[in-house]
Order: sequence, then C-alpha cells, then structure tokens
Amino acid sequence: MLSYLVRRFASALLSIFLAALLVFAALLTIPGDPAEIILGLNASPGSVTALREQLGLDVPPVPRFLNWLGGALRGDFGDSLNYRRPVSELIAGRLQVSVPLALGAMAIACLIALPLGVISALRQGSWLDPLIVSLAQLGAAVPSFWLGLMLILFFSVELGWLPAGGYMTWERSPIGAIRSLILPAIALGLGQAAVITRMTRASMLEVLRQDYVRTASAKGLPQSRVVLVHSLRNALVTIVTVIGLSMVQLLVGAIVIEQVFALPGLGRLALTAIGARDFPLLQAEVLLYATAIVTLSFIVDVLYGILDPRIRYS
Amino acid sequence: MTRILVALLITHFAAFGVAQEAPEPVAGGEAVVAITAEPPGWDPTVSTSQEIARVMYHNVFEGLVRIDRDGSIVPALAESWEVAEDGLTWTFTLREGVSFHDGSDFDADDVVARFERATDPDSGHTHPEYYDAIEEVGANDNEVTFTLARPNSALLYNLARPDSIIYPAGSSESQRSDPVGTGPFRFVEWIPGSEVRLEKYDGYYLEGVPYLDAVTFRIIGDPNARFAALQAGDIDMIGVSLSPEAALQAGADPNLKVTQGANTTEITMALNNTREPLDNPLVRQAITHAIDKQAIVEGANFGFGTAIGTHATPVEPYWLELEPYPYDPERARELLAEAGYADGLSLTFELPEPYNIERTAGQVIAQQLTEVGIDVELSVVEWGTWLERIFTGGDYDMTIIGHSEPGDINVYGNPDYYYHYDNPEVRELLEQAELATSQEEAVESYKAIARTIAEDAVNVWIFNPAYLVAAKQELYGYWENQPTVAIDMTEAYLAR
Amino acid sequence: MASSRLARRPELGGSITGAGMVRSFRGRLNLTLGALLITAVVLAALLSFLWLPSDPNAMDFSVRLAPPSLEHPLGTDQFGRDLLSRLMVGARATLYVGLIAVGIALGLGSLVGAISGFVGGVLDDLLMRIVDVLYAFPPILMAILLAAIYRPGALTAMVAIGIATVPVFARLMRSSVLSLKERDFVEAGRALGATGPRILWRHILPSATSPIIVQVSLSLAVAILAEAALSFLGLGTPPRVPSWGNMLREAQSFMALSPYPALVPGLAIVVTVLGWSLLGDGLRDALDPQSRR
Repeated sequence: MLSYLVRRFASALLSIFLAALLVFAALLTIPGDPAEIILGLNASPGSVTALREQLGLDVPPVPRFLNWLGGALRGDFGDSLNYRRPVSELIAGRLQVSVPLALGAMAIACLIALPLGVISALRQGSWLDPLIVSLAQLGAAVPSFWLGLMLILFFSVELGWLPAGGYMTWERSPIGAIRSLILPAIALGLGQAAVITRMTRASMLEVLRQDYVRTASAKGLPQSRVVLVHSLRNALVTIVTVIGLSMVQLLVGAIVIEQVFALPGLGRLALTAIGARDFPLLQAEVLLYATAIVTLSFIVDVLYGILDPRIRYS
Repeated sequence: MTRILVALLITHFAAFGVAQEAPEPVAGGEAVVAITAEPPGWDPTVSTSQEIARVMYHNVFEGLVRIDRDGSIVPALAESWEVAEDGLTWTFTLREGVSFHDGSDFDADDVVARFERATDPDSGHTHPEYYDAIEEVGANDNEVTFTLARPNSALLYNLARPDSIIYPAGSSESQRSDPVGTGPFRFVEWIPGSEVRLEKYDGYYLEGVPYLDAVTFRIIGDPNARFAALQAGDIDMIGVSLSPEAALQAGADPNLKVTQGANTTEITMALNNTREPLDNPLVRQAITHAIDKQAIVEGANFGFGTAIGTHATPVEPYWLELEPYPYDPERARELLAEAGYADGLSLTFELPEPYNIERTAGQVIAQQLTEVGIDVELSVVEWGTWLERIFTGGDYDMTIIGHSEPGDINVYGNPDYYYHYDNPEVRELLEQAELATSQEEAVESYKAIARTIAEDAVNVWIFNPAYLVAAKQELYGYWENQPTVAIDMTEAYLAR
Repeated sequence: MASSRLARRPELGGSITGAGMVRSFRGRLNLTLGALLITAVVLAALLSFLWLPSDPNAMDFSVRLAPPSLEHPLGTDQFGRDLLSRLMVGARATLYVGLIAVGIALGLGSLVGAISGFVGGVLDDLLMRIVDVLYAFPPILMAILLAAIYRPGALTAMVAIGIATVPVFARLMRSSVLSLKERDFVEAGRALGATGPRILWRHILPSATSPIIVQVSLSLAVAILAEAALSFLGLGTPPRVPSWGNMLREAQSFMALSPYPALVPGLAIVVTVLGWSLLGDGLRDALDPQSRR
C-alpha cells in the first residue's frame, strides 16, 4: 500500500510538472507580447521596450522557466505581468468565487442525484425508474452554458428574481454573493446530477444483486434498513469515484459558466491570463488545475481502498 | 501664434451639448459607476490602460491644464499661462492654496519633479515623446517655465492628457497602489477584482464641488452583466462600452435614461495598401462603393452613430462631410472588372475579438462585400495576436478597429503604420499644417489631408459611433460627450 | 492499475441497464430513438446543401429579432437572418467538427493505447503519463492556446477536442489489449511465429471493435457539447459560418429582446447530443450483451 502511494504520488508530480512545461512552451509559441498588450494601441515603441525590461521579458526563455520553477518549488509563484500583483494573491481572491461555486454545484448535484439514483434502483420495474433514467439521459445532453442562458432568461429577465450575472463580493454583502452564485451553481450542478444519478442507480443495482443483500432481505430485515446499511454503503465505492471525477468536470465546466454569468472566478482569470500572455499567472493556474485533478483522482483511489477492503494495491 | 496652433487639436464638443432638463444640484449621496476591466495599478503615467484614466483623471489626479466638457483646454492646477513670441518659453502660473490628498502642499517643485521624471527615458513613463521638445523645466516661486528646443504646437494638449498629471514629488513609487493627487475625490480603497472607492476631498480648492460624498467604480467585465447590474440598481451609471442593444433596453426602462453624445472614434475598416490586390486603388474604391455605411450604423449599432467618409469626426476641426465613393454596388462590380477581377476576388477580413461594435459591423460588411462578388474569409482574432501580427506587424488584408484618439489624422503621414499608406503629398501637407501661421491655414491643410486620403480610398471609414451613457434617472451632471476618456464625476449629483 | 479508473469518465458512462426483458427492450428503444434523432440531424445537414428556406446570411434589418412567422418559421436573429436556415447549415458544422474530432481521438488514442498495452514496460508507463497530463489539462484552455497559436476556427476546435479525447480511447484500447494479450488465440498466434504488429492488427484490434464503436458514439455526444462550448467562447467556428455554438454566442446579448435566437440552437444541441448518447447506449446493449455497465 505504502509503496503504491509513493509511486502514485511521484507520477502525479511528474504529470503536474509536464503540464507546467507544456503551458510555458505554448506561451512562447503564441504571437503577442505581454508588454505590447498592456500598453495597447497608443503605446510608443520606447515604452514597450522599457516595460519589457521592467517585466523581465528580456531574459531568455530557459533561465526564465528555471527561475519560475525555482520560485514555484519554494511556493513563490511570482507576480502577474498584467496585474503586477502576486499571483498567489490573485488566485486566492478568485477562489472565493470558484470554491463556493463548485461546492454549491456539487451540493445541488448530490441532493438531486443520490435520492433519485437510489429510488430508481429500488423501484426498478415501476414507471418511476424509466422516468428517472430518461430525465438523467436528457439532463446529460443539455449544455451547461445554454442551461445558464435559459435560467437567466427565466429567473432574471422574466421574473427578475436573481441577478443575470456579475458578482457581489462576500465583504460587501454575503447575501448578495450567494444570490449571484445560485443560478450558476444550478446550471453547473444539473449536468453532474444527471451523471451521478445514473452512476448511483447502477452501483445500487449491482449491490442489490449481491448475495448478502438477498440474504439480508431473506432474514426479514425491513427494506429501508437493507438499503441504507448494506447496499448504500457498498454502492458508495462507485459513487465516491463518480463524485470525485464530477468535481473535476465542475472545475473545467466552470470556465464557461463563469463566462455566461460574468463571475470573476478562476476560469475567467485563466482566459484573461492567456489573453494578456501573462505566463506567471497562467502557469500557476494550470498548475492549480492539474494539481486539483491529480489530487482528486488520488483521493478517489485511496477512498476506494478504505471503502472496499477487497481492493488490493499492487 | 503658438497658441493659435494649439487650438487645432481642440475638439468642438460644444455644439453637441444636449442639455438635459436638470434640477438644481444637491450635495450628498454616493454613486456607483461601471468600468470594464481592472488595470494594473492606478498611475496613468506608467500604464496606458484606459481604465486608469477613466477612474483617476480629473477625479483624483489633475494636471496643469485639463480638457473641459466642450473639448477646450482650461486651467486646472495652473491658473494661467503665457507663451513667448518665439514659442520656445511657456510660463505657467500655479494656483495657490492647493493641497494633495495626503495633506502636503502643491507647489512648483512637484511640477518640476514630475516633468523631469516624464522626460527621463529610464523612468518607464508611458509617452516620453509627448514631452520630447522640452529642454528644461524651471521653477520660480509659483511659476513653472518650460523651455523648449523647438516650437511645439501640441504641448498644451499633451499637458492636458492623463499622462501629465501632477503628484507629490518623490511619490512615484507608491502611486500605483496608493494614488495621491489634488482632485475633487481622494482614493480610499481598492478591492482587487471588484471595485475602487473614491471619497469627497474636503480640501478641494474649488468651492461647492464635488457634490457626491463618494464614487465607487465597479469592475464588471461582461457587457450583459454590466447592464443587468444597472437594471437591478446595483450600479448607477454605465459610461463605457454601452452596447446599442442595452441602450435600447435602458431607453425603455422607466428607472433609467440614455444620453447620446459625441466622441472622436472612427470605426475604421483598415486595408493593407501594399498587399495585392488592395494595392490597386480601383479595388479599394470598389470596396468603398460596395459598403452601405448607413446600413451598418443601422444594422450593427441600431442607428447610434454617424456615417463618415474620411478619418475625422464631426467634433474635430478638420471634419469634412464627403463621400467620393458612395454606396453603389453596380459601380463596385464595374471597378472590380476594370481592375481585372471580373470573376471576383478573395480577401481575408480579421475582426478583433474584444470589440463588439467592430465584430458586429464586420459581419455586415462581409455580407455586403459578398454581394458584389468579393469572397470574404472572415475570422475573429484574439487581441494579443491582433496587436502583434496586424497592428505592429502589418500582416493582414483587411481588419476593422475604432481609432478613438482625437486629432489622430497624422498617422497617415507614417508609411510604417499598419495601413502601409505612403503618399508624399500627405506628408508634405502634414508638415505644412504643423508650420502653419494661422488656424485657418492649418485647418485647410488638415482638410486637404482628409480629402486626399478619402480620394485615395486608403481605408473605409465606416462610422462615428455615438457615446452612449445609461444612468439612473436621478443622476445628473455627468459628461454626455466624451472629449477625453475620463469619467469625470466632479459635477455629478443625485437629484432628490 | 488504479489510475486507469479515470478511464471511466462518468459523462461517457451509458445508462445502466437492468436484467432481462426490460433491459433489451430499453436497449432497442435507445437505439431506435438515438438513430432517429441523429438521422434527422444528418438529413437536415444534407438537405441544407440542396435547399434552404432562405439565404442563411441574408440580412434584413426590418425583421430583426422577429418571432416565428410563416416566412421565418423559427424567427430571425439580430441581423434579421433566418434562424431555420442558419440552424440547418449549422448542423453541418456540428456534425463535421464532432466527427473529425472523434476521428482524431480514435486514431491517435487507439494507436497510443495499443502500443502502450502491447509493448508494456517503460514505454507503457511513459505513454500513460503523457495521457494523464492530457487528462489533467482542461480542454478549454488547450483550445484557447491553440486558437492563439493558429487562429480560432473549426480546425482548431477539432484538434483541441480531438486531443482532449485521446485519453479516453488510449485507455480503452490499452485495457482491451491487456485483457486480450493473454488469451489463447493471441498466444497461439505468437506460438505460430506471428510478429507483434501482426498480432495486434489481425487478432487484437478486431476483438476491441465493439467497445470502440460504443465509445465513438458516446464521445461524439461529448465532442458536440465541447464544440458548442468553444464556439460559445468565440474559439470555434468563425462568425458568419453558422454553427450552433456561435449562434448562441451572438444571441446572448439579445436575449431580453427576443428569446428565439438563444432557444433554437440550444434545443438543437440537446437533440443531437441526446441522439448520440442514446445511440451509444443502444449499441452497447446490442453489441455487448454481456456488459454490466
């Protein structure tokens, strides 16, 4: 187990490093100069040169990457070229939007999906099951950003209940912040709800077919206890995996949703960073994404072991 | 003499003042104003980001002189100024009793320090070339004297730019994050990614203003979200990048009002004058004939704007109403045939991603060109790429962008500019304009340039979009025209 | 092996089928319904080459943002262009980008997966690490980088989606190869002196076909969603060439003035994505009756 974890950890680090290298190389290939972009249409050539020096863009690529890497290993991600503020500070600010958004979306997804999935599996054969399955099938086919637009159309334009976009900071108004995250979280969460419903139903069915559940039923245990105590616990193995992977989908899907609702989250920060050729910022962001994704799949693997002792690590 | 030439750059916004029926100003209250992006700090002398000037200029920072609502240059920190007969010595008499927001007094030393820094090539100042005629800046009591190496007609206008603001000597390092100026509002708080808060400066030298106790500039990047925030009452005014469809909706909203003012933006469809087949004047003329500018104003901007025929807007002194190659698709086809493209031709047309009006207008133009047999390959180009490849590199067939700098017709004298237009006649006219001895003579030279470039069909100048502001009904006193990029809130007030 | 659990990307997982009659009935229903929906979209795209209600690019500002009418059955957009015509032409872009992107993923992914599984050892480790990196890299960021390097357009979108989908096929192929490698017929082939590539080509690939066909259909659903998202961000099909994603992008700021330009292409996307995923599920049941998932 331990050696497995160590190996797994090392390969995760390698993946993250490769991702950072990839981004750096890509940014070097892209036309567009950060200094030129900051100064815009009315820039004088002299000021572009001066700014390039000031931003350290005259340093050749290899030492620049090594400098960045050295700093990153010490936890110092440098300053954003565009915002001229520490990258860590910018990202921390955006996390205040992105983390509640992802958690909110996940909460919505689970609240809908887990009961529906369990009911669907238990009521197999009744009309409820195909209904839920079809709804899930449909839900997975709806693009989240379009759902976002439709939610805006209905709840903001027609009814005027919730803001159509933009973000109220927590400092200014916690209620405002929550209000501005409700529609985005729904738009993001419903698609994942569809996926989790299907997976929950599947793993429940799998477990219900196992002998020990049948035995428990035969022993005369009331059905709800059988479901909750035995089946759900075992079905959780798969469900946890799916939720972990859904989290990844949420991180990625949030980029488009932030655009629809004009939320100042991580995704839009990444888009801006690419637009401004702000490589310290983008590097750090990609690193964050990659780390989140790799860590999530790592946690999923470990949980697997805890929840299902039958799994052996080789 | 020199002063007369200076007037050339002054735009004539006065005629466009659409005076609102406004109640008496009242003091008090706070307003929230939208801006579109977060700049890299708030010092207009180290970054050309327009958002800095929008927020800070006139509100927090002031220069010796400033641009007024009607486009004229009026005293600010300088009470008055004199120009010597030879145009080489400019003496500014400074206003007395002016203090910076940090409590220190404003004096001639601050001005000297400021311009020494601006003319220092290592200081990283945004536009050292604005001041390159300045040989020496001297102080004498409350007078500052600029000694020039050569007469410079643009000096006064350059001193009215956001790049020429004055802050306390020795404070240039801290201005980026902690701006200290002399303006009617002082900088209070910057919540990165969210907003900037300015509060009334009680020590302001003008009596009675500002009316508002505080102004918050909120950063909302997305145009739809910006307008939604206005409709919801979260903000009080949008004075930047208001889309025409939002203006229509605001006009229909009983809580909001829309004003239409003037600015100096030419939406310009730029043609690469050295690239085949656009190097052929007949092809450029045909393209101009193929484009129905009025339909673009209607179709792309819901009628908010004026079609233009050369690189000038109605508020600029050399404005000409002319259209040597009016909309005439038949004539366009004939000219194309004459140029040897009877079977049509194929051109790329690249639209800059961040600009909505340009993107929309581009689509209408592409359709109009298709109708005369020009096969247009339309693409949207990301901004950094646009700047490097098209604007700096000059590698393109056709593109479209708004040129908003006032008095910027002089770019046609630069053959390296991305149009690649090289006409010695225009360069000569430009020189004449600079050496002119009377305003009339100079304006005539500029008009001759405007006419020549139009006849040469260098570019297709599509339209001058209206400056649209949407605001809460109660808000008055904001600028309805846009002679400068600043969103000056000095005289804004909330009626009760 | 635990890391390859990522291969089961949840959005690709089919509907879970019960036992016996219900299941095969539903399987057939899925197959039929999915095939019907996709046929409809394909027919609309094909028809658009022969006939359209009106010119999809013709602008008429007098009828901009109009609701459905006899002349414009689905209404018009902000330039007064006919939404139905644009929708039909847009179907081409949607199918085209989806098919090519999945084609790229299938080709590249299967190759990598097959080599990785067949050769094993250090090469396997290395290839799978690269696949992991691709997986950890948000496809949207990749598309943006590609769009900036080349230019945004259908090709860039196809390549970006294709590359982002490579890991799915690579892992699927690898696990197929791993499970088949030890089977008798492969051992027999090897004993008879067949070379590696030959075994791969003659014996292993054909046996892996069924899961791959199913995966292609499911990946098409995902690819179409991704294309729509990229075009919505302005990174896909250029303006003027109608695609459902860029129709939505343009509609966004006019929603308060007319809902149709946003409603129509969105529904079309839902129908098409649903079609491919139903088809994929149906095929899974039909081709692989043993499947438990």
